[in-house]
Amino acid sequence: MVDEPVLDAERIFRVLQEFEVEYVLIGGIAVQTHGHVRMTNDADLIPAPDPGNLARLADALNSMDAKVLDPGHETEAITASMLPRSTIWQFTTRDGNIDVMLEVPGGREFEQLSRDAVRISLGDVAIPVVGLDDLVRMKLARGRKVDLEDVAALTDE
Amino acid sequence: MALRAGTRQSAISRLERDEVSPTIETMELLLNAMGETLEFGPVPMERNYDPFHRKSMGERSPEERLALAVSWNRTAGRVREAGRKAGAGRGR
Repeated sequence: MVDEPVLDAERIFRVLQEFEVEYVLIGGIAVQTHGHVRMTNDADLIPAPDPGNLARLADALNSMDAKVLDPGHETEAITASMLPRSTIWQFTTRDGNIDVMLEVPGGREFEQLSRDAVRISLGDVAIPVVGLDDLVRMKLARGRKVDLEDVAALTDE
Repeated sequence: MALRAGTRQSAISRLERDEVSPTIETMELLLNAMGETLEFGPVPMERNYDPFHRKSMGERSPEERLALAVSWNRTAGRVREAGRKAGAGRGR
């Protein structure tokens, strides 16, 4: 069994910024940012789907020594052309696991998600976190127990 | 059932085969035919968190919450790793 790396999301965000990757952060860290504390061991993001951005994302992932986790694809090279071949890719990197999602149930177009994202600064790193309404919508569409628990907490204002 | 509810057996069959979704009125009619009634109303979702903790987090800024989240996840990962190593050490 491969040891799971410790998630250092700040380093991941910094690398994404250095490579000028356009993305929106979703998943557990977005849930935490919107006020519900629960642990997560990966960073989930939706990248802008244009080829140039996917090439920058592939470069950023490779700079973090990323490897594909998806069964059957472990040895696949991470490139701009491989990313659109699946709606979700799971990577392990030296700074933690990253899920890249090109399509998410309940998710709107990237431009809309990005427009309504909350821009948050962590030191000198800017992180676009998905807006609360979009996050709730995605969680409801996914519908697992953990997603509905997240919705219960996120809507408790 | 169809006779009691004043509908056709084929309509009941379509419901049973999950081919159609019944309206609330149909559900009520069918339940009434079985001597039952339909209760309908909002119920809070299952809450699996500490409401006081949730409230105190809500009072922090998004920047503070993200910084805390990054730190907690990192700490949780380190603790998990330390636990794994300790477990591996005991196994030797």
